[in-house]
Amino acid sequence: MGEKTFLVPISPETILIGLCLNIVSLVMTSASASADNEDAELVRQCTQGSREAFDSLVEKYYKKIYNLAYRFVGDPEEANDLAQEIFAAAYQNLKKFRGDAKFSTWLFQIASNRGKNRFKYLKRRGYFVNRGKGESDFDKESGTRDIPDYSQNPETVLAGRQIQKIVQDAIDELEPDHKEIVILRDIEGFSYDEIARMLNLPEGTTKSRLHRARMVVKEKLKKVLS
Amino acid sequence: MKSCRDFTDLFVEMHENRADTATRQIFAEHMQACPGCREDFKWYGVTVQALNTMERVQPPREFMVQLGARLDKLDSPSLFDYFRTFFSPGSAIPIPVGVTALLAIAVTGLMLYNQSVSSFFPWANYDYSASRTDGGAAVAAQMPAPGPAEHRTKGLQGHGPVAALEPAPVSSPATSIPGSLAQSTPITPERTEAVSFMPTLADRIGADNLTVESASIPSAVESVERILPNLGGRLVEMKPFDGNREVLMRVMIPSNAYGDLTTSLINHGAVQVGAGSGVTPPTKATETDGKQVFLYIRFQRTR
Repeated sequence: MGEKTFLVPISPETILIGLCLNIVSLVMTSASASADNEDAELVRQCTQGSREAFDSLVEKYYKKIYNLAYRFVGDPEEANDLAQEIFAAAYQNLKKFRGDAKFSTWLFQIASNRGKNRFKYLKRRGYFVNRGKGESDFDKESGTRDIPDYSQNPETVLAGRQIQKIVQDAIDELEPDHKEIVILRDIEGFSYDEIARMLNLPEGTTKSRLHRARMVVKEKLKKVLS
Repeated sequence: MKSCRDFTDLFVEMHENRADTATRQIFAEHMQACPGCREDFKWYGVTVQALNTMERVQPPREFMVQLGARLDKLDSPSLFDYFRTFFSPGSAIPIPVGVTALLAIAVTGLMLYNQSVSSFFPWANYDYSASRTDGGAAVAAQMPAPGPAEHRTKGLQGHGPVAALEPAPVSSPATSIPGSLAQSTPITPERTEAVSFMPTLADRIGADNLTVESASIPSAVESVERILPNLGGRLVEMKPFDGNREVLMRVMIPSNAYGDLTTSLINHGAVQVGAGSGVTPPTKATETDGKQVFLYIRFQRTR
């Protein structure tokens, strides 16, 4: 028996949408490549002793790094210290950066390692247990954040904040190996490929860890919100 | 037949639309048939959405300034930072080398502490009496002790190779006190060589200090302790050396009592003849207030 072939009719709108997506993808890829080249040039200048070049790299990434640090430790002051430690480590080790990967990947690799270590250290000292009993960070630090516009309804805003708090607490309860993957993938938006390279893990392991981490967070959310 | 657990494992692929058509079909069928998995998948979607929409936390305004200061510190590490990381991995000196160096320093220090310098540096075993132009304050002495037979002080001698004690000329002081105790007495050209080889350890006391040989060191020490108050002096410290075979006594006496001390020692049988009351104290540089003088007395067993 011959193999059956099914031809699906494609509408002109579908083709148009496909073309648009391709163009957007090309523009984004081009912008990304340009940014990578810019980083590589700045790194080269840094290795030749230019502090200004490193300041430019800091300027470019410090918000992301701070956000990642905050997600690891869940406290503004700890996050501030951790983020500075990450940049200081990058500054000290820049000469060891061989340029095999993108600078951003390398920087986030440092950030992830340091963040995980700091998280382990704080967890051992019972930091997260004590913190959960205190005042919500959202109440304390709301002035320093970009609050998402859930809606103009205060109840919805409050519910959104509470969900954020619940999610952050759930993340804090994850194992360090799971936590870093959730942060890198779901919060920072790195691809599986990038995460696998950062953490030096097979992509399959990355996915399975992410799945298990999400399931833990899901159970926590379900328990609290149901 | 797949279990619910198998379908749960497909949540990632299904949520990210990465599953193939056949898998999607089977998954959809299971979701319709299993309310538990359907509920779980719904909550899975809510969880991923909640994670994806976590707010971006803004760093404090002073972040860049603080970081700049931290990087400045890295650019110019302080001396404290250098030593703080001296033995840490990645510093200029590897840990094993550092530890070995520390051990070597400690062992050498202990050996120097317990041994005389001359055992390490033969050139330091210098015969001071040979370099003296004045004959030294040495008095050959040997006389019976007034007390028990074993309390027999053999002599009051210059240090180093035992020098005969002779009536000491007034102008006889020789440099002997280590380090800052170096004396101010002019050094004649003939003595320059000797001075340049002076040991620096306190236990290598010089020729102008006193060496007392005795069959019983405790008795000799006791005698000196009895003499000191009468002279207005006092014992500053006493230290055994070489397994108690030698004792080094450091005393403070009035500068004009040097001769009296030696005379008293003679009277107590420590010396036969020797420095009288007119002898000039040998260690002017050790004077603390112009009136007092430190003096080292070494007691050693009769040879």
